[in-house]
Order: sequence, then C-alpha cells, then structure tokens
Amino acid sequence: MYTILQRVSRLKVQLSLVFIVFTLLVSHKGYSQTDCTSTSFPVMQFADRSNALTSSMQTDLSSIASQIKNHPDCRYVILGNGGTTKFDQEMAWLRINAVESYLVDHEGINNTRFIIRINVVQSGPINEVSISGAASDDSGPSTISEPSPGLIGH
Amino acid sequence: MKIARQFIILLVALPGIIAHAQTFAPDSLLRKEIHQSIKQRQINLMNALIFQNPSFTPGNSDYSYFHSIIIKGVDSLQFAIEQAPKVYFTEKSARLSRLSALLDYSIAAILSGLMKPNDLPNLFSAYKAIQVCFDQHLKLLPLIANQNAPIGLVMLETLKQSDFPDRSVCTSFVLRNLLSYAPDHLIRAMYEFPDANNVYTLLQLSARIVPEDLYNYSQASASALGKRISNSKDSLVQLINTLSGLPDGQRLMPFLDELFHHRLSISEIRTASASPDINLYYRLLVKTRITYLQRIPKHDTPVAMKSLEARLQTMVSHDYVHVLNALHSQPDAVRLKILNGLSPEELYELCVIGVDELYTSSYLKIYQRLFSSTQLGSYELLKRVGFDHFKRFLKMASAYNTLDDFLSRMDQQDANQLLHDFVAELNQSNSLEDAVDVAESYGSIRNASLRQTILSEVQEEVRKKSLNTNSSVVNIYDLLNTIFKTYEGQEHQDLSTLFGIPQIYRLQNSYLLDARTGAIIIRHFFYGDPDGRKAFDAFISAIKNDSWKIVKNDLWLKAVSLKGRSIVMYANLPLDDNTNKAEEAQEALTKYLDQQDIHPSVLIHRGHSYYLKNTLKYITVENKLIFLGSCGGYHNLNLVFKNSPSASVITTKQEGSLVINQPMIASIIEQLRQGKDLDWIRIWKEWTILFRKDSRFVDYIPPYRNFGAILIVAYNKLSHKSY
Repeated sequence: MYTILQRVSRLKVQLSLVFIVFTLLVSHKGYSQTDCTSTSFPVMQFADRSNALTSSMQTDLSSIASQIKNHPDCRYVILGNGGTTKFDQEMAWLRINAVESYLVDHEGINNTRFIIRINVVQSGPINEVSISGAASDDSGPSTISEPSPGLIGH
Repeated sequence: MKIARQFIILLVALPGIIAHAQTFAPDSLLRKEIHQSIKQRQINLMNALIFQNPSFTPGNSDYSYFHSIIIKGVDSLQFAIEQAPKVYFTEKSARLSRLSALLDYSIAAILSGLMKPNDLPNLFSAYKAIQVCFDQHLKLLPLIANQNAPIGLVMLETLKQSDFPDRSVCTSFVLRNLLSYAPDHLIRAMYEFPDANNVYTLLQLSARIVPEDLYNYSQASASALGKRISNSKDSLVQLINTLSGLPDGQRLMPFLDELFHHRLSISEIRTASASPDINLYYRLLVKTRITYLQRIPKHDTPVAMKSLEARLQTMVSHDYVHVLNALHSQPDAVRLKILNGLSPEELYELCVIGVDELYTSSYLKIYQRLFSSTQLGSYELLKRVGFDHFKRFLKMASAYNTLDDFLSRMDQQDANQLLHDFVAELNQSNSLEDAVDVAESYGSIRNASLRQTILSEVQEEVRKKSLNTNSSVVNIYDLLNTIFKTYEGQEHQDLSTLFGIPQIYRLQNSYLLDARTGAIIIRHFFYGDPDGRKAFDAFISAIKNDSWKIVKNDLWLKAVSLKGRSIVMYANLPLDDNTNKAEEAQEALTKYLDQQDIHPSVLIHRGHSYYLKNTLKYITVENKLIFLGSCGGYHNLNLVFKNSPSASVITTKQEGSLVINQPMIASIIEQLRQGKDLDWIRIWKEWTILFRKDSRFVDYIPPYRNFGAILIVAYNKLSHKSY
C-alpha cells in the first residue's frame, strides 16, 4: 500500500511538471514579436584602404538580400568600424555606402529599411562592415553625413 | 499491463492532481513565473513611454499618471484574474499569459509610434471588458469598434491565440480603420493578419496610399501576405509586385505613377538609369517631379511621390553635393565638372534639395551657374519648376546674400507677387519657421523698394488682424512690423526695451563678467587643419605682447591679461587633425573648466564650417557672446539659440576669412580688456570703414540684425506673457 501511494505521489509530481512545461509552451506560443536582432549575416571584409566590393562580397550580399526581403517587418543596421582617425571614419562611411548602394540599386531593397551607423570608437577590425537586424526601438537614420568630405578622393 | 494499470491509477488520481497543482507549489510557481514576466513588461512599457517621451521623468505629473495606469492598472487586472471564481488554474495561466502578450504588443505599438500613451487607459479598460464578452459569449465587434485603430490592433494581436466567433469581422474592421487612421502601419498589420476578408480591397487601396510599404512586403513573396499580393487582380498592385522583384526596382519605383499610366516604360527609365552619364537619370527625376507638382493643385496626387522625393534626395546628396563639397579646394574646372550640362531647373533642384548639406561655396557656385549660360529670368525659372520649395530657395538666397541678385532678375511686379506669397499666411503656420525666414530675408534685401513691398504686405496683415476679435494670440505680423520699422528708422524704438530682450545693440562689459572670478572668460576653439593652424598662429601673434601672460600645456593654453580689465582666455592647441587630437584637447579643456567651475561668457569658433558642428556642441546658456566666423555660420543660428537663447551672435552669410575674423576678434578682445562696452552700431561703423576694400565683410551680420533670432526671442517672451 505504501508503495502504491509512493508511486501515485511520484506520478502526480511528474505529471504536474510535464503539465507546467506544456502550459508554459502553449501559453507563450505565438505571442512573441518578430525578433529581428537574432539575425546573423557574414561580415564584409574590405581590403585595406578600399571601399570596393569584391565579387565574393557581392555574392554574400545577394544572399543577405534574400533574407532581408523575407523579413519585411525588420530593419537592418549596416555598421562600419570607424576607428580613431578621420581617414578610417571616412573610409567606414564610404564602405557602408557601398554596401547599402549595392543592396538598394542591385537587389532592389528600399533604403528606408536600413540604419546606417559608424563606430567612432574602434570596437572591431577596421576593415569590416557588418549587417544585423535592428532592435525594435532603434530608429536610426538611413543616411548620415559624410564625416570628412574630400579626405578621400571622389 | 503495467501501463494500463498506471493509466487507471491516473484516471482515479486526476482530480487530485489538478487540485494539487492548482493549490500547491508547482502551479503557484508557474503563475508566479508569469506574474514575474508581467512585472518585467510593466517596467518595459514604462521605459517605452519614456523612450518616446523623454519629458517623462520620475516625479513629474505625466510620469506619475502613466506609472499609476501601468503599474496599478495592470496589477488590478492580474488580481482580477487570480480572484476569478470557478476558473481552473490552466485558464488562469492562459489569461495571465494573454495579459503578458497585451503588454508586449502595447510596447511594440508605443515604440513604433502607432499608439499614444493616452490610449493606454482605454486599452486596459477594453481588455478587461473582453473577458466579460468571453464569459457571456458576446461578440467583440461592438467593443473593438468603440476603440481607435491602434487599440483595436493591439487587442487583435493579443487575441491571436483565442477563439471568438466574430474574429474575421473584427480583423476586417480594424484593418480598414487603420487605413484611415495610420496608413503607415497598415501593411505591417496585414502581414500579421493576411487572412482578413477585405485583404484584396485593402491591398488595392494601400497600393495608392502607401505603395512603398507594399513594395517592401511584396518582396516576402513566400509569406501569406506576399501570396495575396501576387494573387491580386488590381493592376497597380501587380505593377508594384513586379517592380519589387526586379534588381533595379528601387530605381524604377520613383516613376511608378508614370509607369502605371504608360507615360514612361521600364526600358526608357533603364536607358537613363544605366547610362554612365548620371545627369540623364537625375534629369528624368527632376522632370517627373516638376510634372507631378503641376498635377497636385488639380487634386491629382501622383502615386509614390515619396519614392521620387527620396530618390532625388539620395541622388542630390551622394552624386552631386558630396562631390561638390569634397572638391572644395579644387579649381572650378575640376570641382564643377559634375554640373556640366545641367539646366537651370536641375541646378535649382540641387539647391533646394541639397539645402542641409551644401557648403557655402558649393551653393554659391551652383547659384552662379544658374544664370551664367542663359538669359532666363528668375521668375520664369520659378514658374518652370512649379514654384517648388520657393520659400526655401528665397530663404537660402537670403542666408547666402544672393536674394537681392535673385529678385533683381525679375520684373518688379513679379517680385512683388513673389514677396506677397512669401509673406502670406504666417499666422496659420504651426511653427515660427516661415516667419523667421521672412525676418531673415528682410535684412538681406538691399533694394529699398522691395523691402517696402514686404513691409506693406506685413502691415496689410496687421490691419486685417486688427479687425479680428481674437487677439489673444501673439500676432507674428505685429512683431515683424515692429522689427522692420525699427530697422528702416521709421520708428525710433529700442527693440531691447520693447521686447524685453537685453543687449541687442550694446553688450555691456559688466554683463560678460564672471561673478565668481571678476574676469571675462573667453574660450577659442581651434582645429588642426592647415587653415586652423594659421588662425592659431595669428591669434598667438596678436597676444604675444606685454599685455598678456600665456601659460601653455600639451593640450591647451591660458592667456591672462596683465593690464586693464581682467580677461582670461582659454584655447585648445590645433593638434593633429587626422586623429582628432584638437577635438580631444577641446574635450580635455572642457573637463578642466567644468572641474574648476569656470564658465566662459564669450565663445569664439576659429575653424572651417565643417568643424562648426563640433564647436556648437559646447555652446551653453552661459555663453553671452558667440562669434562664428566660419563660412555660412549664419545657417547654424537656430542651433546656437537652442542652447543659448539670448546670446549676441556674430556670423557671416557667405565666406568667413581669417583676414577679417582675426582683426574683428582682436578688436572685440581689446575693447573688453579696456573695459569698454561692445556698442555694436558704433563698432560696425568702424569695421565697415576698416574692411571697406574687402567685399566679404558685407556678409557679416551683427547681433542687432539677426532678425530671425530677435523674432523668436520676442515671440517666446510675449507668448509666455499672454498665458
């Protein structure tokens, strides 16, 4: 008798736990908003002192573009590492624009879907530009002023 | 057998298990988890309100009100769920989760700007009423129809997982409502509810109202909404869907209306777009814009005008203005090559669209081109561009001192008409902006007869206003009339006394004194480019004498007057420009001054216009005299007055020059050192003689001619008085 009671009690606990997990899953399913920030794309690695897009970068951007198009409710941050010098900041601006222009003019994505940003404090490799999903409260601009016009020839 | 036995035991024990789970730890833990998540969401919602309304700070009444709505209001909803009689624990958990979802969607709606804080009380009340509808098996439409579109949408989103009989009707209603209330949010909502009954009708309407959004969501062709878009029979929806699938869709979208009406073909646009001559595509954009502008007065609004304007803005900025600005030190033949072949209309559009980015010299070069190769009159030019942004153009012309020239290129009668339109309806505007433009322009017109035209227009408006019984509002025309008449000498009134604005004509020496130290504190901002270093050298030469003692460290210097009034000047060194060392030195100096509780009353910018933005960051209300000697410093007056509303400011409308700036600055410092007041009218007369051979001096504006600034300060003062 004692064994049966023990088993029933254990079963009660097990079922209750299963039920809790099930209820938690069901109760929160479908309520979550699209989490744009979880997207991860390959980083664009530019050559030193260059803002030219290589063919491999263009291939990557085309693949990124498909994913961006499939999530029309998200905006994306194009981030360049500006470093500490004016040259690096200007170069970052040129690179970001090269990436954005490609996505807009060659992939047909509306530029309002992008947020442009330059890291003024070096926090990553200077030659990199990354693209990532924007947080829902990020209302950054689609264009930013050129940091040092004329520093790098047009 | 063993399983069967356990199943029987389970059946027997089930009620006990449920009761156990409902009463004891496991179930309480579950709901405790959900309550915790709700608590976090309450905080997040409050943060979202603060994010959208930075004026909400703990302690103020708005903050307290919404804090109460969100914390106490939601707590009471939680309490009601917990206390609901005869409700199983599973249902309670589901209701709590739904409340949590309500907060999630509210946060998203607040952050996106769709929902306003004031909607929250109604939202929570409506949410409470939903449960009553559910309990009594009532339809939700009457409840939802009673709310505005954002509340309706948040409710629908929250009830995504709930069954209710009139879901379809409610969804259609909310989406239709959203179209008129907040069309910018419609497609996003349709993406969430693609099965609404009226989806095809809404797609058809949204193609005409928010074609750019429809374009974006068309690209998600595999989504449910993407499929609906593909299946739409509406020809405009189909066209947008087609464009969204083309790699150059964004270069075609600006011409959507022309394509739809078969006035342009995709291949024609591509011919211009793909040409190495960028002017061809720009020309097509400008031509289309002007055509569109001619349609608008006939109540024929072109579709996707926003795309056209955005593309023009991008092209003007990237392909023209950036190039012109970047080549500012190159000869004209190199710098202006990009403008070759552009018509006056296209050059005009460069000005009005590039207004925020053009360097002074870039604007002036474009302006010179505007009339250099044609006999076109300026009024005819405005007619050709459909008077596109003509107020903006007049303001620019005024700000860069080319307004007189522009008006001289049209008949007097046309000029009168133009100025009449420029001055009209200023009281109807919600902001002072247009009136400030008129005030600033007035000071730029040297032709007395044209100034008289503006003054007459203003006085006519004053007369009309005096017939209006509603005189509680400050009349902008009254202020303009006073300012202009004083300028013309028709009235010998002192604007300082009249408007209660101190120090317009004369800056008293004592007004600039730092009460704590008894000295006048002056701060100079230098930059590390070659011209910045030259300016610094000139500054040092001027004070390297027995009247000053200079103390220097690695980052900045301090110059103390040894004779006359006690003056202390601080200046950062013009260190390496490429690594922003001069800016770092400015930071270090600011930190030092703050630590020492030293607050300069005079601030002097000693760099090119592209460094001005940096200097402006440091302007505070303690700065009573501000000298912006860089090119086009005048265009930044609004930023200056934002931080120091009653400062006396000296700026130039065109080219700033060291050979003018340095003597002016030296003269100001010397007069202060001698204990003299800065009597601007006298000083300006002396400088006019001193700089009579330098035509650039006429572009410098004394504090008493900053009419726009005077108008703003006077308006604000009188508005407060009338409350």
